[in-house]
Amino acid sequence: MNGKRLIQKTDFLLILGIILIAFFLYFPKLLDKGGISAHIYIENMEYQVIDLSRLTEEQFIDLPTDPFLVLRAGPGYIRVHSAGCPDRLCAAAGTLTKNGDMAVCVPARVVVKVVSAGHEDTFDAIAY
Amino acid sequence: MTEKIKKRKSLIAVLLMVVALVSVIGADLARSNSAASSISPSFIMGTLVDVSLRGFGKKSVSEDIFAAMRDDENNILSWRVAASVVGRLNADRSVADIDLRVTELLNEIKSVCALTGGRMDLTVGALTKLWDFESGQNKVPSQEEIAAALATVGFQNLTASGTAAALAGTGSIDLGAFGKGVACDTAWRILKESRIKGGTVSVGGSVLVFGEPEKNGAWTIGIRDPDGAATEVFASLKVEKECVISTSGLYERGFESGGKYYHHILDAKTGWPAGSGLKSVTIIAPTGLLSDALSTACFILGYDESLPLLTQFGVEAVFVGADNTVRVTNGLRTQIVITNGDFVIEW
Repeated sequence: MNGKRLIQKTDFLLILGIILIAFFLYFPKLLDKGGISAHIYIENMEYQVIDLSRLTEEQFIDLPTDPFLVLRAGPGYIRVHSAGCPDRLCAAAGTLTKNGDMAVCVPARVVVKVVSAGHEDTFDAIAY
Repeated sequence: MTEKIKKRKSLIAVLLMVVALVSVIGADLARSNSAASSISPSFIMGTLVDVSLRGFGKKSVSEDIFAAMRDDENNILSWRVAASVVGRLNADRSVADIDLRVTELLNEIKSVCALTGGRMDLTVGALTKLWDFESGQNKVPSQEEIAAALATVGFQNLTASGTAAALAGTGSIDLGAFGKGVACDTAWRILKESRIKGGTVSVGGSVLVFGEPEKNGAWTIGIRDPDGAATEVFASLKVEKECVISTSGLYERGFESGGKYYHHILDAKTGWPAGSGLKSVTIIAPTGLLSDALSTACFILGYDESLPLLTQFGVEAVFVGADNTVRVTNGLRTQIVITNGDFVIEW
């Protein structure tokens, strides 16, 4: 009323501050476009994550395990390319493309798991 | 006065900011706790353990589950560990300091073996070492070698009472057909004491479903396609109550020799891979031990001979025959959906 504005400059700064903090908290989620990635675990620890949706050509991943294990990843897929384990059950998992698809090599203690962000699982678990 | 109003406005603004921040962070935290998420998988008992939980403290509860399973493996179950109960029974033939839980476990396993008429047996150590499916040697033993190994088999040779157990004869215990189920029960015990709302624990494909389902009032469990890759399923199963689902199939381990496929599930009466003509059996049971043990037992016995066992324990089952005919127990008729057209349910 006294010629003063209802909202002052400091108020603007505070509001801007809140918006900025909220933006930075959610910035990573905004970047997440629901792509597909492969999570590689060795000895119960996450060893590498490959964003399969960003791959444009095939690549081979030679894992530091004994027995040896070589993975082949391309746009939207990953599979066990070759393995030094006796039963090669990991290679029998085939090509992994969908959320939850998994290849397991017990002798090399490796798990390759496909995760699709924002994707609702078809199954809560698979009995095998 | 103006200064006072300014200060008050600033204070309100700061408070609003704090409330906004707490809401944003709180909502994010609540969402992350209410969504099922998989923890880094772990290798225990020579198989993969995959845990997916909802609720506060899921990471530490998962670590507790992994630790308890490793304890069971090293202290009780593994024949590879000399200091375990099984390792000591195999070497020393008797133990006198075991928990009552272990005594109950051994007796429960014995009773399942007895109900199969000894076609499933916990003292098959010599036989499993002879075939050694894990080594990849792919060698078919001779009938003489099998007969020699069979001579050592006999679940009656094990006695367990109080804190003592003894193993007569020359046989050795191998709890390979029971370990995954025991591990599920161990996880279940820990989850019951936690604040976890719900989740799944898969021990090498034996799946414990715990607490409240995340969506639609039921769990959706896929059953592996016995003819397909490890990631393929042939049926979807709705499960509404806590239970353990285990599958035994001829696909898991085996080798070809002389044009014939030899799978890893051995009939303890013949010493050869079970010839029941089934591709897989899935059991839905109120305990992990029953689920794991009966899936193997029923795979060995075949459909007809399994029915009394299923009735006795009140468990549900899915049988897949050699011709892809699927037979299910009455309790699953409205719960199962075949997702692969190569398989047909015989009602």
